[in-house]
Amino acid sequence: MTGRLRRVRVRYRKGMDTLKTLRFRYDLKIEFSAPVTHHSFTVKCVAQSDERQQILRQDVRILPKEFLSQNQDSFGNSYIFGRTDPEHDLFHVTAEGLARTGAVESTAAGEGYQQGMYLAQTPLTWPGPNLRHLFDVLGRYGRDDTLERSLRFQMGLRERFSYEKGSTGIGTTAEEALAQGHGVCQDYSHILLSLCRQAGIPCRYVVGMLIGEGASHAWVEVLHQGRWYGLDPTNAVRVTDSHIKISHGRDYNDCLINQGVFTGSAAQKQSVSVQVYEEQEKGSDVI
Amino acid sequence: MDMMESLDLFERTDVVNSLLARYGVKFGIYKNNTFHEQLFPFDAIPRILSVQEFEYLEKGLRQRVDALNLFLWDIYNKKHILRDKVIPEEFIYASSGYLAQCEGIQPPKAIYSHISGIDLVQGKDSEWYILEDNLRVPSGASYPMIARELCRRSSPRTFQAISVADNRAYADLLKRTLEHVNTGGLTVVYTPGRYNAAYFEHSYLAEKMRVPLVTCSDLEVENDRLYFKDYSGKKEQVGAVYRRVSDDFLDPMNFRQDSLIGVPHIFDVYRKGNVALVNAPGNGVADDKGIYYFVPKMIEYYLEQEPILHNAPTYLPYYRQDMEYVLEHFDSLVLKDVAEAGGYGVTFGSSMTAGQKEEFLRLIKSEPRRFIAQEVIDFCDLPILEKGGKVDRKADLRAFVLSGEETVVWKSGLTRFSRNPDSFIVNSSQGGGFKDTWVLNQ
Repeated sequence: MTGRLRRVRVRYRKGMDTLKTLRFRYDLKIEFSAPVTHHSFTVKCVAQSDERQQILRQDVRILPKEFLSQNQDSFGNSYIFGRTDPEHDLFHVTAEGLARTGAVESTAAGEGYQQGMYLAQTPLTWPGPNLRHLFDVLGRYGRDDTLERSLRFQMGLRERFSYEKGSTGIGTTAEEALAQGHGVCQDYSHILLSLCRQAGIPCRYVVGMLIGEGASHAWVEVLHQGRWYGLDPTNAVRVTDSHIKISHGRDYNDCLINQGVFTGSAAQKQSVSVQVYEEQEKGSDVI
Repeated sequence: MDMMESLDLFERTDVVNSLLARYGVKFGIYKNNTFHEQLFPFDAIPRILSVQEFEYLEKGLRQRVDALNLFLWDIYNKKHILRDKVIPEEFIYASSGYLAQCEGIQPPKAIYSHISGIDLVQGKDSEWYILEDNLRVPSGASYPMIARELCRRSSPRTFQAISVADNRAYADLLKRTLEHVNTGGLTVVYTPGRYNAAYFEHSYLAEKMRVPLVTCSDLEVENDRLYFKDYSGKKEQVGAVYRRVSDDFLDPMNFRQDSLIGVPHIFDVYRKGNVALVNAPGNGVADDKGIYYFVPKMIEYYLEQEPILHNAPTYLPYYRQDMEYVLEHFDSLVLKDVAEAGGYGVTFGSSMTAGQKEEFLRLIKSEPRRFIAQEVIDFCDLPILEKGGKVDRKADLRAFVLSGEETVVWKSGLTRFSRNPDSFIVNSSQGGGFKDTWVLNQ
């Protein structure tokens, strides 16, 4: 999962008084080198409306399929599961829609004592010597509040970590990524999660889409005064009206966009493309 | 007991054991990555509980299991016990038994632990102590069931002379418990397969309940429902699954992706409320050895009652004063790793060499949450038959508590004993044997 977009204006606009309408298209293709059968799948690529983003319209297509069911997972994400038994060598998911952003920058959280699962480190965020050292350097001073402190971690990370596509994989831990000094949005996010959790700040991993063309993106939400605030460590900004959220969880593994088991001996080639454009008209025709 | 001497049950021990072997009453263990099957040696001298003693245990066990079920619902829903700081949050979220995937799920009739195996010992002071709660897939009920059946056949006079509560009713009790949460459709026993340690039990209970015994390939999810496919390809909806597959391996789409014994999406159907999984996934958060310490507090918190049955005196090195106590009294304590089960990860302070002790103290200081320390209970020995005579051995009792319409304690239980005279560890995976447990009718 990557998603670094260079020519994007991601400055946070105080107040965000203008609403943005974003047209998005998410496209996932899995090509199998030989036909497979009895393919069970779970797809978590359905964006949901919340205070920060309003999903005006969304059309999700999954092919091939025999049955599809929809539900919400334990983190509150929408997901689709299903199965297809006949032989196939392509699995194709598309989600297209319109989102409106820019109303507010944060979303309400439940009671603090109910957010403890976002405070515990996971195997992907577990701090080793490098992360503990970075926390010592960045975290042991100041009387700032949780949001300011998280932003300070984000700025500190920006100085010590660089973006490099393909240098890490899906199983790379925050500790491993930090040790090598570069990675992608997933690694930036896991490192920031690890730092915030060491500081006792509940925080969660977010998968979503960013304006422009590319792959899916990942960022972090931190709990501050009963609300979740988005931080995008890859771009070292706060989450703006250019971000469309898809799902959240404790780490990458809770937000897998696609999971599957099937019968057959085949290599898989996965390709993802995401397009998000701002609608120039104010979107009054789509409500 | 004197009366029993005159009966012929004890003389028939070898007959009963050979019958048990013929019926395949075995359990399997993995050692060095290979599968071994062992007979589970049976000793004919029963543990005998009087009516009064059983009634006392029954009251205490029902109370404990009711509180544990309330705790499980609370933890996966409102978390009031964390709000009120009765249990520190990190004991929940750092527990390997806590499954975030279970957050917010409403199991049918709000029951999480339908079948609970509670391990107790009786101290020399004749006080009973709870050693451990097993709320995931506790096994063992089938052993006293079949032993009773074979003993009755081998020595009918014994059971004419002594009025013992019939433990063969377990199958009906279990079936009622499963039907109570059934959401509509078949009830099945779902086994990982014949290489599971307790496969005998799975097949025996399915047969006694007269319900299908299934493996993953017999079950299939379609359109929000779970189906059983029979040999002719006919599909029938399933409403309750007595699953003997652990949480990790239950569903490759929700837990371990490499599971070959799971049913894809079975957990998604459960999440929708369209099938009961017995016991509910996620129960490990309540039978963690670290959480054990807090069970008496749960009883007070949820039921506003004094605990009837007591824990073995337990210390949590997580609390500073407990850590100090543990360091001071190290040699008289038993140390348990909260992540281990089946008698593994249990060490006695007194049996460590100086080097081991130093290493252990370093570990306990760096990871205090990982261990609990308990006083070594001097528990009652029970006589076993050996080489024509009787010798005393350490023994515990696994009581089975079934939570359906009511919470019921089975009038029997699995009594396990250590065959090694110096050992306190009675787990079958460590080479122990078993006895029947008799509850007298009067």
